[in-house]
Amino acid sequence: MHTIRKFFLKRQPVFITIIAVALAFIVVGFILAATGRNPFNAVYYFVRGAFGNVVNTSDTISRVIPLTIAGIAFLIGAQCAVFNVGIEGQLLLGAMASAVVGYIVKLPFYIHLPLMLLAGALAGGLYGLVPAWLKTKRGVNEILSTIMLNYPATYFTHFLVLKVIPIVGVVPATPFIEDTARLPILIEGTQLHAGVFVMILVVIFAYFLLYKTSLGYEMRAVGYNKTAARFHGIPVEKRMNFAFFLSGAMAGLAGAVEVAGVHYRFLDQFSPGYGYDSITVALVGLLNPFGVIISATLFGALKTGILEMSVYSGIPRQLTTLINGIVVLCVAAKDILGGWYARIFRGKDTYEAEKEISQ
Amino acid sequence: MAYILELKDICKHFGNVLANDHVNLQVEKGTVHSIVGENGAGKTTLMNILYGLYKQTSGEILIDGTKVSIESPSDAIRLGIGMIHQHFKLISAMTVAENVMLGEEPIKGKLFLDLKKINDSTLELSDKYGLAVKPKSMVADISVGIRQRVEILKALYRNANILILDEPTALLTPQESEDLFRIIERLRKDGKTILFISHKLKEIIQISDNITVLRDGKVVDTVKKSKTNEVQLARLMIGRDVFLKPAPKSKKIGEIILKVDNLSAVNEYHHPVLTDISFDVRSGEVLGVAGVDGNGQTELVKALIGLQPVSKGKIKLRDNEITHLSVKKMRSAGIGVIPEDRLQEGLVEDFSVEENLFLGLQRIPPFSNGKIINWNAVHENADSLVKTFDIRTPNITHKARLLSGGNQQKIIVAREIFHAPDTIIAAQPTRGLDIAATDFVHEQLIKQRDSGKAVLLFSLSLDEIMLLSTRIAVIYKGTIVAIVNKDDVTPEDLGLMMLGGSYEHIPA
Ligand SMILES: Nc1ncnc2c1ncn2[C@@H]1O[C@H](COP(=O)(O)OP(=O)(O)OP(=O)(O)O)[C@@H](O)[C@H]1O
Ligand SMILES: [Mg+2]
Repeated sequence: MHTIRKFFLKRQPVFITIIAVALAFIVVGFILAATGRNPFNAVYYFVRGAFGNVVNTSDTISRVIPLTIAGIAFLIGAQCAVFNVGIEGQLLLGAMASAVVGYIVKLPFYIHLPLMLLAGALAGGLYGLVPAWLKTKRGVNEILSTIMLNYPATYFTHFLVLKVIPIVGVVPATPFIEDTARLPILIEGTQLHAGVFVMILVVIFAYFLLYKTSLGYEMRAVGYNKTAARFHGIPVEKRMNFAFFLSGAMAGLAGAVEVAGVHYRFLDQFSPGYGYDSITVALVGLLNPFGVIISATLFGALKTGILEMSVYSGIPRQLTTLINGIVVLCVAAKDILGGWYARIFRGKDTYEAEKEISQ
Repeated sequence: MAYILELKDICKHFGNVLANDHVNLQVEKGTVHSIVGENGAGKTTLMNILYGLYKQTSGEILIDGTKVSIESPSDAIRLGIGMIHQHFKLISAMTVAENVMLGEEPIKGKLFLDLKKINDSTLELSDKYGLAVKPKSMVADISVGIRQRVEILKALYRNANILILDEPTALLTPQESEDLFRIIERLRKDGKTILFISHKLKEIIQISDNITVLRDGKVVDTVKKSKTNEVQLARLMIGRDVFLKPAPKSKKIGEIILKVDNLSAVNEYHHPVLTDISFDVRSGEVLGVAGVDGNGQTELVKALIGLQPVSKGKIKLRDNEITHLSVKKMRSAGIGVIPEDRLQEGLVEDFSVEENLFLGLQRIPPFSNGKIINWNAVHENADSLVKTFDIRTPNITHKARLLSGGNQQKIIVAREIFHAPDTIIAAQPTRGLDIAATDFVHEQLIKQRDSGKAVLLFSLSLDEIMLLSTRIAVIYKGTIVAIVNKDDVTPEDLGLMMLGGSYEHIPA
């Protein structure tokens, strides 16, 4: 009993998150049942839709890619006390910059592709420096500034495809990018593209940066305790500026990968809110780079699975939003769950007390 | 004899750590009952159980002979138990009286705060016990000692009969401590029961009626004050005899390492906080800085590591001027610091023990090549420091937050002493340490001194200053009023100078 208890206690945050997500699904199941639908049926179609065959699985993965990269973007900021909720805007600007680099020049692919991805990252990163400047020089809270800065980015890209860049097709979009700027499809007939490798690299990069380098150690120190960081010679403002830049760059990269791997152009309103979802993804992933992949898989599956579910079982698509919302609520209520969890596994215990004392 | 409070066989596990091991405690009404013990002995845990912050794994709590179950601090308050934490929980933007009443405000006409009543009852309560607080002053403007009294008032206002004070004197100056003892005495006369924790055995002997000694979570003994003394208490706590002894004389005093010339600084409101400070510290000596708290010590430490802008004057390290450099540059030029506030400045509580043990050193060998961290070196360093400094932790990846106060302090001291460059600035280095750990840290500081480093010691404890210093600088109102050889002064002389008295009768 003791070892089992210890096992669960040590991994408390992980299990609480799993419980929170499971709880969300149970709640959704009850809602389905209450509206006269068979929840088990729904689960069947959901799983089939998300992972039922190669095509569906590939579709799911192609959504996991932007969610993961954008999730990492949020995570990198959050680990350094930077709450970047402007990822959507940075992602759009990154997508636009990369699309432009993708179609205006023609270069060998081994230059063109990296260049277009880099352009995306750079655009996002530079845009991320705006709230950085506002915060470190002017003291503007970044949650406010970044959320507001989503709007200019959205409308600016909108304006570009509507007014500046000549429209080639029926939808507002940039021209298609050259073949040399595209991420190849990995399985013929599916949407699975080589962006998956970019995603894996990004996750490894984030892990390596945060946990293996002095710079990452300093960023985390800033994230936990700025005063102590300052006392030990860590240039707090500089590290935060860097976190803003890197977070924005990752967001921009997420946009670029979407362009290079899925749409092959900047399509107006192509993002179904990946930037906003990234916050949930990162938090459910417990701000751990590998956790982010797992939680992005969950949210990616949610997007594809629901599609099939709605077609075959007559459940409205809007349910995704509902499920999303419920998952977020349950995860946000983690503290309550944590109290219960602690009660079960060690009697009422340190969980609450730690918080009390640490204030 | 009926006891107001009785603990029976209290056990508390944290994972594998047994923090309290069948603790039995009997507290008589109207007494001051002290709890002493090594760092990590389980004192704070026991008090937190009593206050409902932790739930005991097993055992019973009896109040006035009846068994009670304390699930939360509100249960504790209902049962007449109040706790004054080391880290105060006051709202600085509110007045003293508002803080005292918080959550229990008297209401006038169903809607409005009865401000007059708030102020009057605070004043009344304060007068009753001689606390001398002004109900209308803002918490932001009052000193640490007064803030503590506001916390006491809060507990009294909620009708506490048992007051728990966990290391209340750790942050106080000797004068403030004396004031606190007077207050405790009045509370006791009024029939209140006090549970008191401290590492300063002198105080314990001074104010307690009964003393319980904890070791490794177990009660070693409970003794009457009249039947014990400091030496015996230390022996009970540690298991061997420990005395704080004066450091041996400096062996070889070498060249000047740190030199401060006419240093002045102003605070954010442009009031001078440091005025024309000049001193130097030589290789192989300890310069003690004595002074009443709030006379510029904090600012001086900050100025020396680049956190307090300097308006005039120079700081030189060996031959290099480092006056306006960044913290990073000043520290890498050769200044190590043990900051006075361990939770805010010294540690990253959410980092593990090993991560904390190389904080500030993350860019230098062996911990990294400047870019990539060498985790093997980090583990080795942590293993060896944990052993040498007897840091009580289940393992080196344990979060620092979960360690006892004294063990957190040991992390900081261990790191700064062991990786000390040329100059060590030690601000309250033994705050919260037990007597054995204090003795060990003293030895280590002296060892660094003898290896040719310059040590600048800030301490509110005159005893500590007298034990360790080669020379002593007295700081008063932001300026150094005297620098004397330790052998030429008595603590009484120093006490006088610290209050701004003249020092003419002292041979220089
Ligand atoms: N929340 C917690 N989780 C895990 N271990 C804890 C927790 N709180 C305390 N401990 C452990 O319990 C033991 C007793 O700690 P406690 O804080 O009671 O010591 P203490 O006697 O107050 O010491 P100090 O004099 O240093 O303040 C220590 O080993 C500590 O690491
Ligand atoms: Mg303690």
